[in-house]
Amino acid sequence: VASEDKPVVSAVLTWRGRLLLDIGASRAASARLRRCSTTLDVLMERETVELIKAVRIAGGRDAGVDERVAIIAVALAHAPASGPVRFAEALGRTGEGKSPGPDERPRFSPARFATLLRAAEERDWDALIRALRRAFAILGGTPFNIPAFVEDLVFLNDRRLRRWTYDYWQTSAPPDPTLASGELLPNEAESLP
Amino acid sequence: MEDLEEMARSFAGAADVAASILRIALRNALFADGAKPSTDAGLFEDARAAFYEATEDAFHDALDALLAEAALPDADAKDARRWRWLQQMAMAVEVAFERWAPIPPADPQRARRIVQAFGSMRSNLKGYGKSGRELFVALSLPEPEARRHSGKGRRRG
Repeated sequence: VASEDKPVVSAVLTWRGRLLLDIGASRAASARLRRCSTTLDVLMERETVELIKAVRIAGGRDAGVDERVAIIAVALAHAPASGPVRFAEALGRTGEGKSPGPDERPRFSPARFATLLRAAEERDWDALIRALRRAFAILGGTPFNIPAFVEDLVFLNDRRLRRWTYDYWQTSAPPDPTLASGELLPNEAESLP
Repeated sequence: MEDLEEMARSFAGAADVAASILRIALRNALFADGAKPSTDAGLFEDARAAFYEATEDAFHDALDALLAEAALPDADAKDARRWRWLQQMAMAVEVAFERWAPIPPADPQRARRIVQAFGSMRSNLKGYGKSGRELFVALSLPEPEARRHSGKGRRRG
């Protein structure tokens, strides 16, 4: 199932559509969310409360989901247009958007990426907001896959964080044995580079 | 029937090569350059056993299917069986790798080494490198096309 077809992700994207409207109230809300630096700041915003309600209605009710949704609210206020490249993959590319060669460095340093992952792993939401703000500052207007990013944060778990690491190092992750049908796609082995 | 025995030997030989690819990848992922762990140590043996266990049913299913198809000696069907067996082994190898070499997200140096070892392993499973060539020879599969560039083997999906 594509990320955007999952009800919770779809609810978030609908909310984002309203946030992106080029009208005064939306622009102001977006600016306020971009200035938030703690989970408490975000949770005080009306738009965040609306997003949490929408996510709950869509079925997102597990422990900690409110904090993760608050982080999504901040992130989407910063996020550029959506594109095919996954978030961590975009962070791991060079400033020109290429896979780093042997003598090139990722635009977002490995140390900063580790800080971001550590915050997510330890469920230190304020630290995660800080790390994401740094990431968005460095990404600038570089597009990345917003539906997949939202899905990863809504359903955050250690497996998804491990996949971010593979993405960051420009390598697709091992298959998920809980989802695998027992075989790769037909002819995939032949078409791999 | 002779064909079937040959295919069974080919599939079993390829499984041994795939297990060896897994062992090398785990060693590269978990031990820094210069370290010389015994590859018979528990971790490697457990991973190898898990790989064989994960592919055992698929191996027997493939042989059963070949036996059923023996009356219809179709080269394309046999090729399809070889590719399918390769895919099933690759899946089992990758799953075992992740289980025995999990990424430590907050340790970028170790994480990078593990991802690089995984990338090399996947490249081998696609037929590249010395072990990859052995794998494809064992399965009588055609050599893959030369790489167009030295990219990281990213797979879209």
